Amino acid sequence: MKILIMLLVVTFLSLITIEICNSFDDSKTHPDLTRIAIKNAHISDYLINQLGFLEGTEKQLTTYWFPTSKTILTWLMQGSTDEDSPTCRASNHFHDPLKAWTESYVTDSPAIIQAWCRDVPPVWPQYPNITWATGYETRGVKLTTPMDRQDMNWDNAHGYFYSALTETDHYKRDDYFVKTFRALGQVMHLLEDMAVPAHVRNDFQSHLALLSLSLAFDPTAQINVSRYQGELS
Amino acid sequence: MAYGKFWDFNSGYTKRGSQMKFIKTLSNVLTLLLLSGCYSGISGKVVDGVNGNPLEGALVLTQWTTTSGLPGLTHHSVYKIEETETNKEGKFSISGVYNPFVDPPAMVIYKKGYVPWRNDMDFMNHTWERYDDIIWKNGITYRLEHWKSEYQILRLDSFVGHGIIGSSFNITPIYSKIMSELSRESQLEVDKSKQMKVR
Repeated sequence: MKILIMLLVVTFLSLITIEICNSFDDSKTHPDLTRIAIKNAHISDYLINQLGFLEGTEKQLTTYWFPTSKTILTWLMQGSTDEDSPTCRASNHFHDPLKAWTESYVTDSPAIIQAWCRDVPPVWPQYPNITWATGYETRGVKLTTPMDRQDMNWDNAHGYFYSALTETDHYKRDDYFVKTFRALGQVMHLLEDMAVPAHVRNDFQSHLALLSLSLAFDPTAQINVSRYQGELS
Repeated sequence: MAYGKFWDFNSGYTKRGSQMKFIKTLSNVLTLLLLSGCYSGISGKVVDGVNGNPLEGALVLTQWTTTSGLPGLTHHSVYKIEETETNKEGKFSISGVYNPFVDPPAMVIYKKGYVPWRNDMDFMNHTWERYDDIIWKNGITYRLEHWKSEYQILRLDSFVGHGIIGSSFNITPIYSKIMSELSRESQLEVDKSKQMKVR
């Protein structure tokens, strides 16, 4: 009994003291990448010359429903953070370029996660990154039905931008601009994910490896060469 | 019922007493673990790293986040964000958080003309490390080094803003204003650098 309790305590302590290291963290890496990308892309020039925002990306915008004031740059970074929330959004962040856009989404996530996210087709479809980001099923073919849980893709950003440009009410216009930049930030998150090897192949298991939980779900996660066939050939 | 023996944790002579001793230890460990997520209010001092003079008006910002989601699909939400400025003596105080499920706080100290300080990164050595010994401790004197012109402002911008996702002009006006200024300066630096490359 004594040994058993000691073992339980040691196991419990070792489990809760694991330090998680996320290379593409939603609160740090993604917003940082967005910050640097926006600066290098000279978005400020467009905002000043085309939209008349003299402060460029430092123009403050306030939301209509919840009066929070942030700069355009901060709204873009906020979008890059928000794309991972709620939990199951990130299961739409994978794209295997060796497959057609209709089937390039991730499929190797554990059954428990698939069940939790209710992404078993056709009840709750799961999308590849590129479709999730653009709203297009394949090149030039738009999805015939709107995507569940997705109102912040490239197409939506266009829509919000159009509404912002045509809205006459000052507060509503700023709100549409906020939505435009947040949606753009979320699309940037998806583009940034395409620089992660695990996101451009069918490899959800790597995310579990980060948490040292892959072995609990899939004993072959570390050695299953078949998952890397495309890259190796 | 041998009530006295049942609660006699120090005796250890009976089997029941021995078990209770372990239960007590276990409960103490669990209580400590729960309390480890609680951060009482702290105070400290910010001084010039060269002459030790107190720095007035230095920003001290602290952000607590919570991590939620499923394995492999985790995300962060801001639990609390608080900012303050140092007084004439360079002193500041920050209120705490009492939630066992909160992540360790991110703390940033910055004053224009000085190298900023964070509890999870080192600006000078280009390293990312948590200073666990001073991560949340009372009475620490933070010594800020002088800023040098050869340092990159874009890096300073990223360093001060890294992982601070709960800022807004309504909640953290001082920090937001500083970030806005840094962002403008870093954009100028990027533009200048691009012009140099074109030439």
